[in-house]
Amino acid sequence: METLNATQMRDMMLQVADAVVEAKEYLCEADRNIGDGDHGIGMAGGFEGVKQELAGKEFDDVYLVLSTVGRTMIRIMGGASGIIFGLLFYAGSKNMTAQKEITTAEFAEIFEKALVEIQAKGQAKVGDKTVIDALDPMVKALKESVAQNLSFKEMLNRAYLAAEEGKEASKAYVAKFGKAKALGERAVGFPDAGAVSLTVITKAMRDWAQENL
Amino acid sequence: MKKVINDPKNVVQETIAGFVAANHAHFHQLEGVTAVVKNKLDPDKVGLLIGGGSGHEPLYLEFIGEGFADAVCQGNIFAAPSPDIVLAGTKAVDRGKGVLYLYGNYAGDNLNFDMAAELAEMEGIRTETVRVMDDVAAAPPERMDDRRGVAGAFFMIKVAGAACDVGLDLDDVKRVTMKARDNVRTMGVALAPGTIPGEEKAPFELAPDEIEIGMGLHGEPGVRRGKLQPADQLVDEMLELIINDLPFKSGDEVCVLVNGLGSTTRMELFIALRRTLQSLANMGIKVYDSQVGSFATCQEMAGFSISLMRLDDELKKYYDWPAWCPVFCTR
Repeated sequence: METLNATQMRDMMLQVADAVVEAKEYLCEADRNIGDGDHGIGMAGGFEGVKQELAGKEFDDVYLVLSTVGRTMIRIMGGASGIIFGLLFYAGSKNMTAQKEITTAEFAEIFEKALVEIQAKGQAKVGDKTVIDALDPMVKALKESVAQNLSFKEMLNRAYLAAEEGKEASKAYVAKFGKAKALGERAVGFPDAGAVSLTVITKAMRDWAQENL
Repeated sequence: MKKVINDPKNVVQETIAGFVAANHAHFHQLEGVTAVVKNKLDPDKVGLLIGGGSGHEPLYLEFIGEGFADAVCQGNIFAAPSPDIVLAGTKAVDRGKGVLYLYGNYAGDNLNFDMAAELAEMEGIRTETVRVMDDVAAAPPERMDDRRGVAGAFFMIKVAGAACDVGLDLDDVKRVTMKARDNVRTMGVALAPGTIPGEEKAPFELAPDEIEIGMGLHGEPGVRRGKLQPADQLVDEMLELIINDLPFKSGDEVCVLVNGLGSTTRMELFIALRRTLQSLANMGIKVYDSQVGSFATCQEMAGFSISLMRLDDELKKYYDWPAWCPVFCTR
């Protein structure tokens, strides 16, 4: 059965970190449309910290790679995105027995747990114009890929496409949370900045898999 | 936007470094985190921990002192402090009597302070939370939980700080602070936006002759955008929204804060206060005390807000309680 080992997970997360840092201004612009314009600053700052924690270090536990990513983001970012994007990696990797490698099913489970915990903390559902609009379809795509016995490469491709579709769908929604909520109908036409971030993250995962698997 | 800064990444660290250096006899920064704590903590008292995103100074940073907060936890610009910062502050000020978290009601603050509370509980420290939600413009009264915290935070910190200083237990400090919260209302008007340090563009635009009544401290949309009017008309429109909300009634006794949003001059604030007091007098509302200053700002945002706190004997006692912080003193 195909697996992803800790070193591969580290490398993939480093590519994610580079992609988010590079997308800083793009994410600020997305936030400026319907928020206060600082989303990219927080995300880039968080992933700068992630790079410091991961680069040049050897890992033999896949979960430790992800819990390091998530805990670092929670510790240094602050803001709503610090908790939400920190939990994206931390919720499904904390308190796990160390594993040198994980299967696609275990990979999908990590993000399924993240979806559950982020929804429990933030109370958002699909259609509220939050990261959930992209995360929910992404997790569905992961689980469907597992059910169909797809490769990591194809699973991550589908996860990205699903997140992208969810982000696009978020344009039509009226925001129920965050600073965009007060905009009401005026936020329609713009995607949620958190959903945009998730597409940047999933695209970097997809790209890493295309290039390395 | 021209600003007196270095690398924008270092703005918060350098702000705190300057603040602590200026007040080294009273406060110190906790190592490795953007949290400031009083040098001297009275034994056996409840700790008051406040905080929020940076960029609104003096809020929350400078409302630390005798009869004010024991610790302030600052996040990045306009972003809540992380749970680790809040936990460090919590451990520093807990004296076995628990800690009250007092901060503005924003999604990011709620998530981060709640996680800090969970972490504190694991370490055996009891915390309670009261959120500032005074901005009348943010949501109708039936959705009070959707209201943001703005300048009225000053009154709540003043009351909570006094309640801790008097020696109330954590439940009572929380009760009194919630009473202050339930009696504070604020309405603002923006004349021009503020910009995040290091950013070229402001998060929103206002035409040179335009104002927005009710705009939030981060440029959140308000209740009405229109042409600039004379000060007295602005004050009357804002006051009406505040008065009808609680509602404040003839015979009530209140404290007033006319707060500058950053670049509005004290001259303008006094003009606005003058009208505020005239109009309150016409409504039969008695003003117990009034404050003028830039307490809760958004960088170089132009405009002001009016906050009222309705008093009873208990709130009056805590409002009057001797207190000192770097930007406010009452003896």
